[in-house]
Amino acid sequence: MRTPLLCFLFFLLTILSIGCADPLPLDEVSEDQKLMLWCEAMIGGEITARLQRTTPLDGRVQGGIDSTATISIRYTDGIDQIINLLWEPTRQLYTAGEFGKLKANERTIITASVTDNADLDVQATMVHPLSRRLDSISLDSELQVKNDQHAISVSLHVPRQSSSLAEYYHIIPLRRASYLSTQGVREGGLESMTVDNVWNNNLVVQPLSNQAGILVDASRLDGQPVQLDLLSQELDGNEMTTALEFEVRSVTKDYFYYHSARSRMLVDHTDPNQTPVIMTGNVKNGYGLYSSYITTRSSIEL
Amino acid sequence: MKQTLVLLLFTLVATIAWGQSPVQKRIDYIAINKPLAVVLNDLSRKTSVPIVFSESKIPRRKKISIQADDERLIDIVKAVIKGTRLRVEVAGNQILIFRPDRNADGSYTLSGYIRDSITAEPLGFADVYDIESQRSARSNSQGFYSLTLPSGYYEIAYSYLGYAQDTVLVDFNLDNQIDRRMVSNVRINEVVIKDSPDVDAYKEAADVHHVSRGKMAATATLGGEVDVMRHLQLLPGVSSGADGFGGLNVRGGSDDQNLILYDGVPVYSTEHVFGLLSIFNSDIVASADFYKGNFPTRYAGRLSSVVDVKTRRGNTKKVSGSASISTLAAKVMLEGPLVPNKEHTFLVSYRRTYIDPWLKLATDFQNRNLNRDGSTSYSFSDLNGKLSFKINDKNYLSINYYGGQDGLRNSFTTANNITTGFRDFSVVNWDWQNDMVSLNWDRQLGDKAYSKAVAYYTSYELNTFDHSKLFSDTAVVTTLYDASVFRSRIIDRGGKWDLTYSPSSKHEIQVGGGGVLHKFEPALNSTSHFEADLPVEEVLTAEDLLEPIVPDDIFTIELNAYLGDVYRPSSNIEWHIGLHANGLLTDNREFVNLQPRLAFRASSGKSYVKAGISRMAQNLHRLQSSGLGFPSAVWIPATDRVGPAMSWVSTLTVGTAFTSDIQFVTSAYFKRLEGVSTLLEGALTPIGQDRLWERLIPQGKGTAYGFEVAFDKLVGRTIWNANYTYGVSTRDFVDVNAGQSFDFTYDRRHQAKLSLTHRISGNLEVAANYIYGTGNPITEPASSFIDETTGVPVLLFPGRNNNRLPDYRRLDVSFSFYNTMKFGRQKVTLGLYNVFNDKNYVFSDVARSSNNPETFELLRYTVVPLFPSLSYSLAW
Repeated sequence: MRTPLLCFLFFLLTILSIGCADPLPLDEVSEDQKLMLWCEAMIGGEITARLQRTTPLDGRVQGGIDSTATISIRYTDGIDQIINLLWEPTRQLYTAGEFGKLKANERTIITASVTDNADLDVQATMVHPLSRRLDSISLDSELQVKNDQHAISVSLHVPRQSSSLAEYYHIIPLRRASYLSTQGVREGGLESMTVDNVWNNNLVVQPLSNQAGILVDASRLDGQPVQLDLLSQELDGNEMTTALEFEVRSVTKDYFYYHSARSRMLVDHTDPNQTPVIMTGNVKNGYGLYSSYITTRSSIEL
Repeated sequence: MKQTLVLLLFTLVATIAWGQSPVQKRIDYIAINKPLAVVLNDLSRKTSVPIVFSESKIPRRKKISIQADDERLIDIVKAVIKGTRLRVEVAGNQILIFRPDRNADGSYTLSGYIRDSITAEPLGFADVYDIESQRSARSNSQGFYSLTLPSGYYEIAYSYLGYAQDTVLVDFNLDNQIDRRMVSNVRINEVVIKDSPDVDAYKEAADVHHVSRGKMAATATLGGEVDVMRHLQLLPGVSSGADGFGGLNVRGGSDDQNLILYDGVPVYSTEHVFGLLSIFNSDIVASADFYKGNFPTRYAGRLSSVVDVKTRRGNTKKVSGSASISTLAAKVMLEGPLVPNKEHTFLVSYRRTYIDPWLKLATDFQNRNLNRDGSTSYSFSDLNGKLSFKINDKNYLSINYYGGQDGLRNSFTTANNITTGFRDFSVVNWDWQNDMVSLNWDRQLGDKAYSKAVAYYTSYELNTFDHSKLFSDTAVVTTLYDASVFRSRIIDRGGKWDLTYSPSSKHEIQVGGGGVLHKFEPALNSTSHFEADLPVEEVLTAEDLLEPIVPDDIFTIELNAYLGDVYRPSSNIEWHIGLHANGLLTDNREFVNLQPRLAFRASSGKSYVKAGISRMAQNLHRLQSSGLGFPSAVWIPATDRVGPAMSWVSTLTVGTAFTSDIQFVTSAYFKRLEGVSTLLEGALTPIGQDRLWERLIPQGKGTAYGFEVAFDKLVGRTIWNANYTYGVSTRDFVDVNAGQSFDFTYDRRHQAKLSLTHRISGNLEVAANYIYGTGNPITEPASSFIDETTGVPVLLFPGRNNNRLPDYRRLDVSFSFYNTMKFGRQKVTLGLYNVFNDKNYVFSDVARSSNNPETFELLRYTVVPLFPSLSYSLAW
């Protein structure tokens, strides 16, 4: 009696354990290949674009990397501008930068496609941010020098939201330094940036990865100052930080969410425990962003 | 002389007057076994003296046998009413018979205790009601009941599922205490074939489902383990996570939104085997009340539901016990009196899985076939203890203990991949445990009030650690590794006091309060490195990840007070009106939440309608990973920056009896949630001493609505329940899913369930469950793209919960055989879980293809296939 019972139990548990360990691959949920388009430009600035293919999970890539890609932009006067993009093998994407300057509030429609697959095309309509008064963000600063580092505390004052102001901002701190008495703007060199004192939860103020500045949702900031603590590392004895410049971009909601997602997506993306970051944008039939922004600069002399 | 004359005159007048009074008439009278009212009418007719009385005040069943020879009428009347609470007065030429009312409204109270006839264990939540008017009361967990009715004689019924119904004629012309011993018609979990319809729904405004031991036992089970939570999952509006994992999800809520009370003490996790079974060992569970809406005022602390589980007190007559062994676990229970002839009892129960060595052997064998080293081990255990003391007739004291833990160990290392030269290493260590100690004092205050005081200590701890790495034997450092740790440590020290007072038959006042000191130690950290500097031979530990974040204690204080009234203007109408106030003190803030409760019930004949709205607050959050792989979670308290979550829960229910044994119930519900939380998209937010994490917990809103339809056949050899639920549950976070609303993880649009129990013969039963449900939403990548800066593929997720797992289907069948021998009662259950071996997926994961590391494979995992089981129980 004992032996058959033990055999029975072993049989049951073997079935159970096989059930536990047997993954069932399903490829029907894998999406077909699509295009990712990234085209954003400053009002009055040069339009540049990047285009990339996605890779289905099962690796079924259609077409080859030698195929060409085309972008066409239809302007409000009905004229189409068509440009072939160049393949950059090191970055694994197509790029182009010959579209000319972006006019304010011009409603353009962009279409991107690759030549080897007619199904692979995406389309987007340019979105523009609300204009912003130049004085809508003000800066206070406090400078401390410790161990050859500049510790700079900056208060950003974003006014309470009103219908005439942009809701979303991208603020990029830049460092102006003198090198052997030569003045110039040197991007980078900011060793760290910490956002402090924001009471609201969530991503009201969000530092971007790679020191790419912060995104601010002014509609939820509700007039509270944003405290930034910056640490500037003097690269050598011949270089001195003389000023901080802040590039203040008024951006669209699509821009805000796209860059917010993309920044978080690329941090620790090899971590399987990462909470999935949802790719957003305003590109139909694909992924990406087609948006403009308005730039102003404020500086603090140190 | 003068005084003597006056006295003589007075005596003469009095004698004449007395002699003239009709009540002084002397008569002969014989009655044999006649009703009292008939006797009084006979006497009135025979003497022509009006005897005035109210029929309703006269004991209807009191029979009189008397023989009076030349006795005065008044003496005969006094003799026939002797033994009742009736009084007699002479008013002029008539005799008045009346009963003095004690209460202003002329009502009296019947109270007492209801117990099992053999073990003398209290029967909580038994119904006591007047058969004619259906006015009712319900015993509390100590078996105490209090029923107040207008004066009169009533036929009172005592009803409890699994026990023979009992009726008694009660004289409500005085306050009575009647203790009843009810006779059980079930033993060791036999299925209950009810002898009367379940009338709970007709009597209560709360949206409640009462679960008795009989109901639990009448359910086909997983591995032969009877489980209250598995039983609840068969109800309409209730779902589990994928394939039963993930606990109880009620009407679109998550399982952390259920207030689960273990003898009045909140427990944070009831899961064994990741929710496939609960911590509630069926041997010690006496009953459970499950509320989906119209919450009574005394409950607070969670958003979606209440599960109030009461444990047994133990046999007061003799030492007895039971032992059982099933495919999953073995358990033993012992109970009995501590002192002979005293109602001091003990109850102790222990349960443990014994599958760990088998599982280890089987997985080791399987891993060898897959050309890798390693094995899996899993075990859980429970220890329950209860000491109960009867201080006197009105005071009971009990000490409760529960301790339980689960442990999962899984590790493997693959052999060298011929193509890539790499080896995979993976280790998973999950441990969680509950400990609870409580001191309960139940006190009867007169015959109309009952108080219950509880002081408790409860702790919950969850530690999960996952670590995997990819390495080459020829390399010095690891090519790729990742690791994560989730820790929740919660300790609550609290007390609460509840008082129920029934001043009249129309009101039941509920008042109470309490306080809890919460101590949380949440910790979360993860790491991931590509081409990292971890030496090949080194393996990370949980401490390696916990050290940099320095887990820290967070203290909060919670205070509660409530006042409510159950108002029953008639037996057909009931109102619940109440207010529960909750205050929370965090480091630097105070949160005060007022939670009004309103519920209404009206019944007429075989139909009833209920409606209600409740405000609920929850001062803690459970952050669950929503990415790939098996989900893990961390509990955090509401803090200065992460405020409490709130909900409005409204329901409308209509029920009717089609026939004497089939009921139809349909409910609609709407639930609005505020302040619910989740983890931020992207890298896991480290949670530790640095309280910056508080800023990175998104809080948002949720909406859940739907309707339920259920048919119940409640009486007979075959009982069944068929129900369907349509439910929608969504969440909205400004910073999640790009601000777009998304389907919640537990949104199951359609669910259909059928459960059936049939008694084939006196000792053979068959039970079956069939469950169908729309698959759970799940977030899965659609494709990947190459990061232009690193050249590494990045998974691309188009939306939160963008996919759904395939529809869920499962059929379970079990056969139970009963036998009573000299040495005890036996039960053998043969079960088949998931009869059709449906592949019900639990979670998905993504792995790099072993053939082409540049591509991925999406994998979905199923856990429980066809699972036959055999269990044997013996009770003595």
